[in-house]
Amino acid sequence: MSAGIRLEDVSKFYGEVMGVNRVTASFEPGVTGLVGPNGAGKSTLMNLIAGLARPSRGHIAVLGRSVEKTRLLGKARLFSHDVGYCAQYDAFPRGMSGREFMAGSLRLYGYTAYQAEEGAAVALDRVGLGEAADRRIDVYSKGMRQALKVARAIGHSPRVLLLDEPLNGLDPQARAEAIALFREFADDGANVLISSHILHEVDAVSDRVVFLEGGYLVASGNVAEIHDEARRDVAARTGFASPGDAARPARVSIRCDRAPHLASRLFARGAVVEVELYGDGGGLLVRTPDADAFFLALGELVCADGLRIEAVTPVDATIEAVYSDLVSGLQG
Amino acid sequence: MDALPAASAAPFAHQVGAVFRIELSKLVRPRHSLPALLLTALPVGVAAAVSAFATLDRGDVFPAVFYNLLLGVTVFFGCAFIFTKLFRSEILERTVHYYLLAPLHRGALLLGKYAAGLVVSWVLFGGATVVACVLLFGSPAGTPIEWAVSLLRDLATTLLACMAYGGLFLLFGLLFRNPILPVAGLLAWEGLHFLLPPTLQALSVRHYLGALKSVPLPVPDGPFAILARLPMPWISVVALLALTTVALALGTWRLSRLEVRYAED
Repeated sequence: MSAGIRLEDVSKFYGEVMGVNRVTASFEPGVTGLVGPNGAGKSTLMNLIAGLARPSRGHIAVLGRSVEKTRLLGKARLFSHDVGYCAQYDAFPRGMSGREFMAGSLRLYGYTAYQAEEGAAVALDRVGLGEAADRRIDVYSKGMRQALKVARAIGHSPRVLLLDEPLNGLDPQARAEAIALFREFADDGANVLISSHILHEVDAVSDRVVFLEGGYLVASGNVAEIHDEARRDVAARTGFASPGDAARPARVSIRCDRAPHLASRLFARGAVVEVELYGDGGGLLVRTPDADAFFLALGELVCADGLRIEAVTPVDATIEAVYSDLVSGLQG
Repeated sequence: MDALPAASAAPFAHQVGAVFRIELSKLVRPRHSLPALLLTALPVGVAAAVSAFATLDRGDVFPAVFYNLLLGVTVFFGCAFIFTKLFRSEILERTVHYYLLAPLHRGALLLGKYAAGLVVSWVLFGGATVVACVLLFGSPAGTPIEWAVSLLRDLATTLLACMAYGGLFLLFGLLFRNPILPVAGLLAWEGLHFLLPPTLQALSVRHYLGALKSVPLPVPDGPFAILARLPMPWISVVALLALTTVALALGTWRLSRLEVRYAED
């Protein structure tokens, strides 16, 4: 049986509104980050993979099973055992405690009452809700409800884990624990698909990323590979750098004093083609066609003008930068 | 303890039972059952008032209380309240996806919810039937056995009313974003059914319920009333069961095509 998720030419339209369009992708075991702005189609894609929505066209297979056919043939139960979904909807049945919700959910998966109680306790402990298990969900904080959704998704030990904005509302420690939990699932061979608008966290946990924009799949793969590809594309369009230079950082963030002065000096040296001064006056973001020449010029200016530099950071290696490049490429 | 091993697919009956338990625990909470509970006070209160103060013949009053008040108002509106919300409230509160993600046959999901609604409605409205019967026939004219048989027949009639109305209202909750409109339409149809031609009267639930009661109904009066011949009791039972089955089958079909599109609901 195939271990992955396959989408072939998948489109979903809600009347006149496009959810996703002609998406073809393959997700192997490990962690895949799904990145895109609101309305990009991330949740639609997850709903389609989870079987909560039917594609208008195309075909989806999860672990070798056609999502559509399993539904039509009444075999959705086999499919559901393998998939855990933490949906974006922040809603729970009213009046239940976390333990009741979890145990009741696990009974639906065919576990005995004893197994469901035990499984609920384990899942709640794993997401840090052990002590709050008997409190009513109505009084949970947003972070606790988010954790409960994750517990619901992992409770039946699925082999495919779909997580739609799973880090929303979690405090930093809970985020770190959640990311470690997702990593643990992936290391055990599960196929983990995470969507998030907190890009650096997706970057930290993902083996590969998929970029969506306006319902279209823009790019997919390793972040560094996509970065190189995007840079080559930008370079080809702008002529700022030859394809051979594309892998080098083109945008650099500088935290320093006298940022306007540095900006004018860099322009005078021809080392940059674009400068953006930070609103706090404590630095600038520059775009350079030649990174080596830029860093040489920067060093000379710092020595000559006595500038105080706090930090110099290439920003093109981040997922945010890659995403920005991709979007600007689309708009260009 | 480690994480749970993958469970095998549960049998259909187990799935129905799992849904039934969850739904029953929801329905017995005051938020879900209080309006229906208050509705039961209507026929019980009238029966108590008649029993305490009126000089009317109680045998004449009971059919009116049972047929018009209990079945026509309490069971109708009580079932509308309980059954339309089974799915519609989950869609509005964005929680139905928890069920749709579980390894459940959609028919099992529907039956589990329906069974929970039926149990709650029958306990409430069957209880009201018993209380009204005891208040109005506390000292039965016939033998205790006749009295008990009559009561059981009325309880069975209440059950069939809950089944038929429950099936229809559950279907309304799945088909319509605002089930109040079809419920109002059905109320008008049921309320005015005695004005319809006999053939059309046969398309109302009350027509069949009218043939099942232990005490004969008062004849509908008024210048526009049209008398239709009541069906045999066994035909009424079969017709109401058939209506329930069709409603649940349509509900299962609708549920099997249900997609999560909360934004539009």
